Amino acid sequence: MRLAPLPAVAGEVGALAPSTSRRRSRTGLAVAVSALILLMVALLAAAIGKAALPLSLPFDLLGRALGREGIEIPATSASIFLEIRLPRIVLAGVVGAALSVSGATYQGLFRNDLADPYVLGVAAGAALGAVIAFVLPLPSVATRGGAVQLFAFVGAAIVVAIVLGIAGQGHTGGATLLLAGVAVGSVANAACAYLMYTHGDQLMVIYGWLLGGFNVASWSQVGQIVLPVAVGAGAILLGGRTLDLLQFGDDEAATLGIDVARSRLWLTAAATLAAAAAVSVAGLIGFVGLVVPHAARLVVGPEHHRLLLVSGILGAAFLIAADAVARGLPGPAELPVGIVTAVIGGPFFLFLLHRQGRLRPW
Amino acid sequence: MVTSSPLLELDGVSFRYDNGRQPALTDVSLAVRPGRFLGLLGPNGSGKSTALRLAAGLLKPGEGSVRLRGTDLGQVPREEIARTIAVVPQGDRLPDAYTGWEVAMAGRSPHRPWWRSPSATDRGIVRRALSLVSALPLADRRIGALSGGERQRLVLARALAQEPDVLLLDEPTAHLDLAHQVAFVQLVHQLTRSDELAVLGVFHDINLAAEYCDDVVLLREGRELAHGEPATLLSPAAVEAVYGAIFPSVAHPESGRPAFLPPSPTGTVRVGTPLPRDTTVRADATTAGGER
Repeated sequence: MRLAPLPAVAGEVGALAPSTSRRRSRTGLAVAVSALILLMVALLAAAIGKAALPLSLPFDLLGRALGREGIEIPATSASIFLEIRLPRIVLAGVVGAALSVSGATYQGLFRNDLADPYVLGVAAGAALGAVIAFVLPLPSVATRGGAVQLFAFVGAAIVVAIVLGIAGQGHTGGATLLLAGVAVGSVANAACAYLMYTHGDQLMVIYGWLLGGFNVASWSQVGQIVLPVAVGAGAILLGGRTLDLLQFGDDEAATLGIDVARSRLWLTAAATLAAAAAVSVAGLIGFVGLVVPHAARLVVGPEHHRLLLVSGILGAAFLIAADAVARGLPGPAELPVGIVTAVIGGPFFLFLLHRQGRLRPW
Repeated sequence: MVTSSPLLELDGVSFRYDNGRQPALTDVSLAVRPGRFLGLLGPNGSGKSTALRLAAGLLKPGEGSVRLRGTDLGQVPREEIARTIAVVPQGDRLPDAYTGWEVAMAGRSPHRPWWRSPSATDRGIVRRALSLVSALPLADRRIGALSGGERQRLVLARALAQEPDVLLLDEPTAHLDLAHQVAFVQLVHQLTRSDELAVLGVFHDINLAAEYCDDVVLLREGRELAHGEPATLLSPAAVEAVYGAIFPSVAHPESGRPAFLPPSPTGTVRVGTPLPRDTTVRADATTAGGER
């Protein structure tokens, strides 16, 4: 059957309006505004820390790099900014973007508002891997850092692979996959708890890692996760339309031309890759991957191409801000950033629910 | 009477669900032809929806074959199937946050690669599909704010936007009021005449099927009891054999085709509870304890 295209009528508005430019520009506008927010948050965050830096420093450095004469920059400030502050901001941004895109993907894949990057056992696997690295008799602190990161990544990947294997590589429905994730995750959690219980001397270090943070951020950490995060998030962005069609249900998506089992498998793999890379350097930072996609959805609607882009950018901004708060608050030591995201994220999530009219307080 | 070769064919198909003790379908053959409206009738659990899911390629037959233009459906990529076969599913499960336009535009996805945004032609076709089901005013409305009838029209618009040659309907009118039921079936019927659309529809409403289908197949316990044109096939005896109960019947005042009525509480006809599987069909017209 062929349908004769029905031409648009002048004066119609919204989706029926004669051209597509309006809708394209809506995506562009949303991305531009989020990027502006990200930039401002990053500039503010650059000034915050144990050593307060002037807000103008990034501009001064940029000016000097562009060859402008007569800019006075203290050498210590410059090196604090370039070697400590900037890698930390970039790392927090990459991790925030990875967690948010991954969370939005899982929420779409499983048509479940409560899904986050950790639903299929990424958190449990990463935690177990990290704890194993902490209790191994390793020669030095330096090797320990690298080992924790590697073990966490591998642990997360193994646990998700087991979950996918048990649940039939995505051939079964999303609900089965979620339940398998809970089951396998609880076994990994038990193993993790056992190791912590039997290695009480390491408890503080382990617990600090589990809460997550960026206090040892470096350019080499950024370099280690940029590739897996870019590959994972990039693959997900290509699958935006697939995620949209999956919202109709598995059978409906299939009759609209999607190979559901294969799509679910590679989207899960991509989201896991990004999340595992993020967790391996940052520990278990909660709430970012849950809250940010919901906030983005409220602003730009459910269409995944736009939603994923905006989630990624806002996720980066959110985690950079939370990390700035974590290191900027007065106190003997830095707060773990996971505490900050939970304290900000929980009430913010309630506010979102309230905005949607889903809360009925007594 | 048969004038065209089948587009989509079930040939001696049997199917058993993984956890099923009995086969859901046994040796069923159907032919869906261009310009013809084929109806599938039968009681709950008779295998109607299973047959439809097999025809859509959502299930693989245990025995026999499902063929699209002579090619085994299992060999055809999903995207290619979606350009030929569209399905209007049961019920109105649609994601609340999407707009009517986004729902209908989903029907264009098998026609364009994922990296291309909708072309002017795609948009024009979606407008046409929406206008056919009188849903243009729903384009900017969110699904969550729509009635069941409006959602069902959008689902039909989505299916039409696929520009299918075969349309599969799974009890499409179950949630609609009488006027919307008739409007829905009339539109589909008209498309079989004007566009040579081939339609296979599962129906609960025997009277809608009797009026609008060119052929009907009667299923019971996964087996084909009979098939033919509704005017001759749908006798009270045939209906009794399928549903296990006798219903008062009259001739439609316009078409003369058979129509079946619910028995009056003051009348003599009593309908027993539906028979469990594997019991023989009895005419429980007077003996069984009525449900009401």
